[in-house]
Amino acid sequence: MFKKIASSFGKVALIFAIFIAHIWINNVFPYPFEHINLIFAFLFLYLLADDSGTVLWYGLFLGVFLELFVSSTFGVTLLALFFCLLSTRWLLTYFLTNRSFYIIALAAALSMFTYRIYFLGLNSFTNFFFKRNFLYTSRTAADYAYEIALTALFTMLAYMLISQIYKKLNPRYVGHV
Amino acid sequence: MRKSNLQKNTFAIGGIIIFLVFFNYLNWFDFGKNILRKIFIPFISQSGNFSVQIKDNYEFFKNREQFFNAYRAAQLSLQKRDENEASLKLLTEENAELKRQLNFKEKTKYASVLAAVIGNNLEGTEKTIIIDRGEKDGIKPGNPVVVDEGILIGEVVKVENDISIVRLLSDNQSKVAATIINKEKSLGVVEGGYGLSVKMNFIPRNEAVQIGDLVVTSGLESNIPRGLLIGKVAAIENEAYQPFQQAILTPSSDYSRFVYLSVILGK
Repeated sequence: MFKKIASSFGKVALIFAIFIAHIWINNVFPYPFEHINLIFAFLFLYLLADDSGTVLWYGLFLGVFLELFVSSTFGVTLLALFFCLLSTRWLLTYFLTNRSFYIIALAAALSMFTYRIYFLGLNSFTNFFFKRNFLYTSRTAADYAYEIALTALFTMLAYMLISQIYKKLNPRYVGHV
Repeated sequence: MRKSNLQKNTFAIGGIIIFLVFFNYLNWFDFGKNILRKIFIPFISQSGNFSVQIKDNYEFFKNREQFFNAYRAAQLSLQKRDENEASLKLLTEENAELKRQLNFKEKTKYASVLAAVIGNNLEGTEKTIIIDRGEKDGIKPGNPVVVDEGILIGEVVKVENDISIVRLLSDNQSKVAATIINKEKSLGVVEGGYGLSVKMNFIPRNEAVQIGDLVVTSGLESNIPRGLLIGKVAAIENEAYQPFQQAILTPSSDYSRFVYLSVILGK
């Protein structure tokens, strides 16, 4: 019983810590490193370690927190994150099954790209109904490209580091599990 | 087992998201949102203040030459400021005298709300900021946001009960109708998305624009009053094959260092 309470408390603390760290990266890091999406990197790495669907719950809470401080219509970020996590799981289970560092970077970049596609699609859809303007310019594409590249790189570096400590993520052990 | 767990989680979370969106549409989720915001705003505020402090304390130069150039430019600017200050004093005295003589009535000011900047928007790809005033203070989407005594810095794009999100002029989604203070009072559109500077497009090619000309809002948009300062012309691009000329502007305020600002509520 006590173990369950401690585990739940730990999970809540982890969600809060990730969100606060994301706030700090967003506010303090210099351009273009402010584009690193820590929430996405965390969810991606969690999905690599556990594909049972628990990551969707983390995504739900972090998505709700993000929704409080973004300019898009409520639900756009949340749904984009939800669909992105489902597509990423499918991608990691059926296509990019290798766990080398390069494949992790590629998978993270592809996953971030699909997140942005979902986001833009849903944003355009809601803007059409709420009669809000959203302009897609070359600068928007450049900002998204920075975000995808830097987040993928950050995810790969984090994976390299964590896989040394956490056996389940280490490519040398994956085949024997 | 894993697949069934995933299916269960997917359906449960999909259902929760649909409920959340529906509840939010009916404003039933406002209480929860306010509590969550109260938890996170101190962290956003702290990181925002820390970021401003860092930017205030450090200035980076690539080499010695760049540093000395910046130093000389600062000296010249200081000298010019002294001259301006002297002429401003004379003009102020003259103005006060004229006011007394003509019994000048002070212009009606726009109703505005003072707000503090909490931090940046968490959607990292946008140049938007979060302020601590919202719907309960009378703010509406589209309200212009100014600093000092009328320098336009952006427009409110989203309003919640206790916070609002302001899109800065430097954001790539931003567009504002503007006028150059020159002989022809040239009209154009000021757009963001060019790093620290902003660009004024659609200026007729036959109108003379000089470097240093001031750019203000034109008042052609229903929500933005005329005469709010945007910046100064820093460079002009007038190509023979283009139907319009463009001006690159230096904004009158540094978009990354706001602490307090005012939201103009109505024209």
